Amino acid sequence: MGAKILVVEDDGGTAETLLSGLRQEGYTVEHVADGRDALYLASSADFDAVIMDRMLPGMDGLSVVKALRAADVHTPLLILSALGQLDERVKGLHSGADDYLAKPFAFSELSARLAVMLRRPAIRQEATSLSCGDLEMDLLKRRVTRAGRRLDLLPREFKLLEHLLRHKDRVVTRTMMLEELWDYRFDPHTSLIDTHISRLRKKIDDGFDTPLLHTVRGSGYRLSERP
Amino acid sequence: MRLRPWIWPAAASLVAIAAVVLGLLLVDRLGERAIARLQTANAAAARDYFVAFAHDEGVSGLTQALNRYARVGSADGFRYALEDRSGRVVAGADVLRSIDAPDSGWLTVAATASTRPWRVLAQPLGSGYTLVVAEDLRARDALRRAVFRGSALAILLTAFGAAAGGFGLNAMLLRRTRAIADTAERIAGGDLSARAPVHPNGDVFDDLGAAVNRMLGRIDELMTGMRSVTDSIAHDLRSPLTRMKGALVRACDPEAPEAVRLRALDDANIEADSVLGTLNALLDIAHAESGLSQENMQRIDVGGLVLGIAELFGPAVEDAGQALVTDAPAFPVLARAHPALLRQAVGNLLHNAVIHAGPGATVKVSVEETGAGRARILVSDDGPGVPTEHLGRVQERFVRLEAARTTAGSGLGLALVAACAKLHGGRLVLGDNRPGLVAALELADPRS
Repeated sequence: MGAKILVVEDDGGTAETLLSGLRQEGYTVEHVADGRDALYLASSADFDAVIMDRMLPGMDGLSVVKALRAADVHTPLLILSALGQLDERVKGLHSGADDYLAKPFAFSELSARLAVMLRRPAIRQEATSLSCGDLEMDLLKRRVTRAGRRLDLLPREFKLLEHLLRHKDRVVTRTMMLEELWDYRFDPHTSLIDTHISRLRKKIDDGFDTPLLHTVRGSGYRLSERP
Repeated sequence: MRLRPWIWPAAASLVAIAAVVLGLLLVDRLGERAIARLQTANAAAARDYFVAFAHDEGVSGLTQALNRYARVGSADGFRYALEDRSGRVVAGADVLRSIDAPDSGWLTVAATASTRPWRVLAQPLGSGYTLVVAEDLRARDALRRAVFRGSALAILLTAFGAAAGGFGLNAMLLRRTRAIADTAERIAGGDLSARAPVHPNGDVFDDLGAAVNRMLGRIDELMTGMRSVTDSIAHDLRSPLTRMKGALVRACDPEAPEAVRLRALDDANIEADSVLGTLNALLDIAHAESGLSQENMQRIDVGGLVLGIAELFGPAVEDAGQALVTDAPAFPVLARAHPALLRQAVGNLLHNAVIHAGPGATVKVSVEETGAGRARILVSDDGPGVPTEHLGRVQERFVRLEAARTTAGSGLGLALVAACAKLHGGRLVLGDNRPGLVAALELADPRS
């Protein structure tokens, strides 16, 4: 991996968790605790992604994000904040952040979101077909086949599978799917995703030798040929 | 600069005194002019009368008439005389003897030690005779003084009446505002039960008092609500925190097998999530109720939003052994709404149906356009429903009915839906679906 991440966090404990976790996953990490330093570093050095707290000394996180975007710095940026209400989230995304995660958070959730952010431009939206192993999706004819056999998917199942295919080989968490597919942000209802996944799994994996849709314990799901 | 209260009566008195003085001066001037004009006309009329008399009856007739007139006397202050060529009075009032009348026209004769002031009008009659009409200016002054006194009395009486009325009104205003201010003082002093005095069918002050009382009632209601919410939060957070602590104690036990400790950590994790969920829901409700969420409202297709959430809950409804029916107009139902909050509200209603309606129930979700920019979202089921007497109570925070004690939940779901409805200018109406529960979420934002 080796992607370069800037962590902006003034709480010592949280910063330590983030730094050790990210280093363990192979990222190169730099850490600042002040909003002004963050603005200076993020606009001068070349980072692959920024993880930013909101309530910072010096300059608050949202202002830093706005200043960066205004200065044409489009580094993928995730806001990590204790302000978890719906309205705060909307405000964060409006400021120009690419993602918003409320504290307290599970590190696996952050890691999955970071991975998605880092490879965002890889699969272009204009692609007309997606595939994973012998599973193929024709986006124009809205048709899915596995090993040549036509699979009959409901629109909601098609939507879910398309999302998983676009993030092939990556962990996609339940909250990520809730947010991106249904614009729904409510942690107590994340198990709804499991009900969708179990139906999709039945249709794409039942009757085939190698399962493609894997459950990643404690995080979410991954669509991949590799087990 | 702040004006002291006494400034106003002082200024008002000054203005009143000035007005009275000005009024008296005006009456005096105008009265004098009016009297002068009247007396001049009277003098001219008398002259014309006697000239006509002389023409008809001759000088001897006029002499008799004037002498008779002088004998009878008059109270109006006019005297008449006839002078011959040499200026001697030959008929009429003797008092005019001492006056040196002009040959013709007007003359004012000032008073001397022995005579009165006169205003004289002379008219030659031909053949050397001159008719003299003289007005006693002292009589005129008496009339002028009488008019002035009467007017002055009227003005002073009016001014006094106005001042008394003003002071009375002022005292009333002070008394009435003081009563409301006293109420505010008592509230500030901690007596929250204080209310402004209000008389039924009252005036504007009673309206003000009633409005203040309504505000106080609302504040009281909010404070009571907040107190009960604080108590509920303490209670509702203590339970999961206690369970979490128990789980952590189990996980810390060095004697326990690894599997048990891991399960205990899992349990602690779940309890932490429940505490966080409760806190987030409370914050979202508070945000919606305070109206701070207004800035995130926009015009959206409510129908599409509701169908999206229904799609999300589809498998969960099926897994609960229930059937899901959706019904929305084919056209977009546009209304000003807070999308994220509205999705969560509809989600909560569907979640409640999944949990409480029981297997075999049919869950129906529909959207109706009830006017321009207005919509109604209905979520109904034919499960056991909610007893009618509890329909209002379940919308409050942390209220969970006996039947729901065994299921997981924070008791905040419907409170959030109600807050969401309020933010959208509407309300949440729960009703009996005979059988089952029907929840109507009204969106009626006046700004749509």
